[in-house]
Order: sequence, then structure tokens, then C-alpha cells
Amino acid sequence: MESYRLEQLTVFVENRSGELLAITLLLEDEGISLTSITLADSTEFGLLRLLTPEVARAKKVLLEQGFMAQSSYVLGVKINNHIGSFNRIVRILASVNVDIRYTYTVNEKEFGIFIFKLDDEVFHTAMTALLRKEVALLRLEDL
Amino acid sequence: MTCTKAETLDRASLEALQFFRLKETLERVYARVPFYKNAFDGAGVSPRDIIALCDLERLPFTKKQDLRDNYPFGLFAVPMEQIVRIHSSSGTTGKPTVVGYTEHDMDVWAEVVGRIFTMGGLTSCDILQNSTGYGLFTGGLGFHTAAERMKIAVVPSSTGFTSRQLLLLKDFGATAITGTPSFALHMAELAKAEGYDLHKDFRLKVGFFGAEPASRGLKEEIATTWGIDYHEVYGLSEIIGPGVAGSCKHSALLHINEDHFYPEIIDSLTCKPVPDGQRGELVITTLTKHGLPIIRYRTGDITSLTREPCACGRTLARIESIAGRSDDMLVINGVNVFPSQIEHVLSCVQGVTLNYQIIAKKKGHLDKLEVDVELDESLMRDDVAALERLKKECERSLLNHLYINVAIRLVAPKSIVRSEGKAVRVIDQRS
Repeated sequence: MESYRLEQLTVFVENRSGELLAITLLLEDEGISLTSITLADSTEFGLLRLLTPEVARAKKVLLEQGFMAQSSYVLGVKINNHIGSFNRIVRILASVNVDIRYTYTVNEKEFGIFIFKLDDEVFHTAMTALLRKEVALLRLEDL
Repeated sequence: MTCTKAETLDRASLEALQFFRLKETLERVYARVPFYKNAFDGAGVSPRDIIALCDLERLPFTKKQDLRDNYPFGLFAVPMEQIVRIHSSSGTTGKPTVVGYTEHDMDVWAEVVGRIFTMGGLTSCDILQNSTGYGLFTGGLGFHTAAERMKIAVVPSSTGFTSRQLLLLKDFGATAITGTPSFALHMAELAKAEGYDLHKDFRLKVGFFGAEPASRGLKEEIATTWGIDYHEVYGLSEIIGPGVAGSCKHSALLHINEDHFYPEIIDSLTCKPVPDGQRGELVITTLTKHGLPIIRYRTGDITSLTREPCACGRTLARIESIAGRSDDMLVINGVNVFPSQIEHVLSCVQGVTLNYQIIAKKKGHLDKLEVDVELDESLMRDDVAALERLKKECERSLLNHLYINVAIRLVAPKSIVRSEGKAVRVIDQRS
């Protein structure tokens, strides 16, 4: 079950021009591919969230270059591309009282992926509930 | 509407009066304030050894830290039953500096502020809009009491609420105003924006401004924009509050009420006196205060002194507008702030480090303080809301402890430029 915990990297980004570029350049230079990149922003700073198959190495190079990077776990859900599929997942999570911190999508060719950030304490509950309903969860090696 | 006799004494009589009052003050503090007894004994000087004004140099200085070390009332020279008013400034390490006034001190205070109002031509026929902060800060109530005793009608409008201030100013027809120079300009700007005619809609003829430095250009701008006479008021709570010195109609220099406050100008590094006309740190000894007499107080303010007679007829020595500070104190919209105070407040907030930088800016005519502070790496979380809460917490703490509005900017670790040696904590972009 542990392999369903996807490690996501969060990088603190100041709202300054060139800041994002510095990060993406660094990752490119290191040959690190990204599965997903999203930016959550406030008026003054942003949090860049990255999914990459090489999370440990990405974290290492970012920290070495003085970026503030921290990893945490997210849950990835594969869904078919039809109406109501996202709603179904949310309903399952609600049925076991799991709150969603935030969510975002990752596009794939055949299916959609929803990434869910959940509190650590309810992670296991959510995972079990989804697996019981035969929802396909993403493994690290799927990234 | 003329000046008092004390303001026009010839130098010899004034010095005789100063010496008499100094002796009385030294005897009083030596007998009643253990801090001064220890300090004088430590320096090997007793009040009896002071036989001329120039002997004052032999006595040790009093510093702001001494007030903090004796928080709250350790330097008071009278029992509490004689204290009628207590004021306080914000504290650096949680300990503010506290000052107390007896009935007699209140009389002195009203007298010295009253002299400055008289310089501006105020009489009981005037209406004064007192747009200086009330509360623990000495400014508002210092002006208030003096004006009331002169039977001037006081409008205690305090600072802020600019639109309402303008409405009152127009409808009540105040002829005089007090405040910080930056607030005066801010009010003028808003008045224009709100469609007032600054010369026709208001009856103002004179303003008394202080608590923050103002260039000559700024003073002229305020005087012309409002069509008023500009009088500058200098003071600090440790000495009495506003009223230590003020400018007359005849020059930009400020008459120091030296029959109550004995001035010295010293070199802040060597602590030796500097000649008249030369800049140095202003040191003041109170000559008539009972509640909190203070000996050789290091004000930190840089100025120069002249004893040349003034065209107005007053013989009191004059100081120039404060040219700067001997320490790192910032004046933000009239409120004194030390970087160390900001540091202390930040040190109590979990999640930020003590790598910070303070940036003082002008926004319109008002001062704006920004603080960049590096996040604590180990407490970084994948949560925008938590980071925003952290920013708000820093801002709220600074407002609660220092009474200043600060815009906090959270920045990444190691993003603030490190300097070799002493950190550059303050960037002042105002001048």
C-alpha cells in the first residue's frame, strides 16, 4: 500500500521575475523530467508543486541551490474521461470523512489523473476506501 | 501674547538660574533615586562637588537603557501619591520606557508647550485641532493640556481618519493644528482629492509640527500648501514630551527652554563637548522636573546649538532641526522604532528566522515600513494559507507591540543579502 504514497515536492517561490525560470532551468540542466508542475500563489509568494519520477534528486539539487523545497505525500487517482468520474471520487472520500486540502489534474493520453492532497492522518483511510471501490490509484512507477 | 521673562533673561541671570535649579535637582536625585546615588558615587562625584555649570561634565550620562533597567518606576524621585500622569513608549525587549509627572511637572509641561503656542501667536480666541496621537504617546496629551490651560478651544482629533479630520477642520474652523509634517501633507493631498479649496475652505493660520525630521523644502511645502506659518516643536518623553524646544516666527532654529532643560552638545564617540555651532549629540539635564528628573540624558539626536540672540528678543539658546540620530532609531510617522524592537517581536513568532531587512519608504507623504523576513526552512509547509497566516501574525505582533503598521514579506532562506561584518538591517529609501 505504501507505494501509493506519491512524493510531491513543494518549492517556495518569491513573487519576483525570473524566480520560476531559475527553478525550471536548474531542473532542465540536471535532466530531471517533470510529470506535473502547478503554482499556487498568494499576492506575494507562490508554492510550486512538482511531481517527478526523480523526486529525491530534484529535492537535493534544489536545496543545494538554496531553494526552499519540502516533500510531502499526495494521492494520485486514475479516472476515465467521462462526466461524473471526479464526483465519484469526492463522494467516496466524503463518505469516510476525508477532507481534501487541495487537488489538481495531470493530463495523460488515455486517462486523467487527479492528485489529492490530504492530511497525513486520513491518508490511509482514503486509500483504503478508494481501493475498496476499485478506484485505480497511481504508483510511483506510473509517474 | 508676548514671551515670558524667563525667555529673555540675560545670559548671566539665566546661568545663575540654571545653576540654582541644577543644584536642587542633583540634591534631589542623589537623595531619592538609588540609581543616581550609585552612579554619582561610582563616578566619585557628589552633588556638593558641582560648583559651576561646567562641572556637570563630571557626572555620568543617563541612557535609554537605564530607564528600561529601572522599569517601571525605578527612576521616579517622588512617591506614587504625587504622580498624576504616566506616559510610556513602546519597549524594545518587552520593557517600555515609563515617565511620570507630578502636578508641578504638568505645570512645567504646560508652560513650555504654551511658550511655543505663543510663538505661533495663539490666544484664547483660537481653535486648535490637535491631530497628534493621544494615548501613552506624550504628543497628543502634551499639546492638549497646554492648549487647554491657555483657554484655547482644543479639538482632540488625534491622528488618522483623515477624511473626518478634514470635515472637522472645515466645519469647526480651527485656526491652528498640530501633527507630524507627513500627516499635514497627507491631509493636504486628500483635501485636494476630495475637492476642498485649501485656502478658502479652512481658517488655519498656523501649524505646530514635530516628532519626525522634516527638510526645509518639506516645511515650506506644508506652509505654502496650507497657507500657514510653520512652527517646529521638539521634544522627547524622557525629558517631558513636546515642548523641549520650538521655533519662533523669526528663524528656523528652535528655542530650547533652557531654564527647564539644560542642553549640552557632545561628540557621540568621545563624549566630549563640542563648541557652539558644531553638530553633535544633544544631551539634556532636566532642571525643574520632580517626578522623573533626569541627568545628562543622551537623546541620540544630532543637532547644533547657538547662543546668539534671536531677532524675536528671546535669549534662549537655539538648536537646529534634528539632523539625524546617533543610533539606528527610525522615526515612522512620528513613532520611534528601533530595529532591535522589530527583531525582538519577530523572535517571538514561530516560523520565521531572524534574517530580516527593514525597508523604510515613502508612500505618498506618509512613511511605510516593510520588513522582509526569511522563512524557517524546517517549518516550511505545503500550505499557502498557513504561510499567509504567518505573515499576518508577524504584522499583528508588530502592530500590537510597537504600534506601527508593517508590511511583512516572507522570503526564501538565504535570499537576504549577507554582508560581512555588521548586517545591513535597515534600508531607508525616504530621502
